[in-house]
Amino acid sequence: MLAEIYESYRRAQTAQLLEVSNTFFVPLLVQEPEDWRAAKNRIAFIGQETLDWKFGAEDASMYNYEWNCPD
Amino acid sequence: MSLTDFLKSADSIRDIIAGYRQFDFASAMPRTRGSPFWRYFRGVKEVFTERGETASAIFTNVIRCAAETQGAGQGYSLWSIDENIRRTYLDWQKGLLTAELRALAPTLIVFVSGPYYDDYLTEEFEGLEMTAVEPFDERVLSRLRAPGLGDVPAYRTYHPGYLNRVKRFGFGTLEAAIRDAEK
Repeated sequence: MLAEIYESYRRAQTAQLLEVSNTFFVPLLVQEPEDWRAAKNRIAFIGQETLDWKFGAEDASMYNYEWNCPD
Repeated sequence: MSLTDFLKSADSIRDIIAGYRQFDFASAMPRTRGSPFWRYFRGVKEVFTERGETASAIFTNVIRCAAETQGAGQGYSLWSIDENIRRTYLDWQKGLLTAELRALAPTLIVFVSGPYYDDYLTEEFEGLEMTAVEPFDERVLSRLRAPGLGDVPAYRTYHPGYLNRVKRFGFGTLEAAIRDAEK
């Protein structure tokens, strides 16, 4: 069902959108984990923006975060 | 890949979804996995699993596409681009989150977008109402109600990076949300 939703958005391309679409990276699209439907508690987290998913010591210092993972 | 690639290739959906599943909350990426963002998400699941209940989690974002303004292969905020381009993009993604949530049927929704993204939520969810959840004020933790959210308990709190930085909040807003949802 999610794939159908995404396909409908992929097809909903206007000339105006195609003019500017190179200004954007590919969208974040989700898929349920295998245990999703059977789980009693299904939690959807929704964050801010899809920038990148990297995180390193430099980010830790920005967040004043105790950093325990080796670089 | 750009949004153009996505729009022009029928295979792009399959590939992006495969990447999402493979990412699996940064399970195979020790450096990323240790961030406040992903620790927070795993911590929420643990609240339920420690009670002996099954729990599954999924994540997405209010803004789906990063802006590419410098040609350097790096993602930038939507705020960094021309307002007309931003508007064109937002018109395109409108309704996507609502449709996904309807399909996913979660039992709890937690927006970790913070108050600065409330305008986007208001645009996405017509008739959105926000109510503070005690003991926090509305900016810190709000219950969200809107037709597009159905009857699912939905909350908005700060980004985990900020919650981690402001020690008095920490995991407290999430625990308060879960308590409120179970009333």
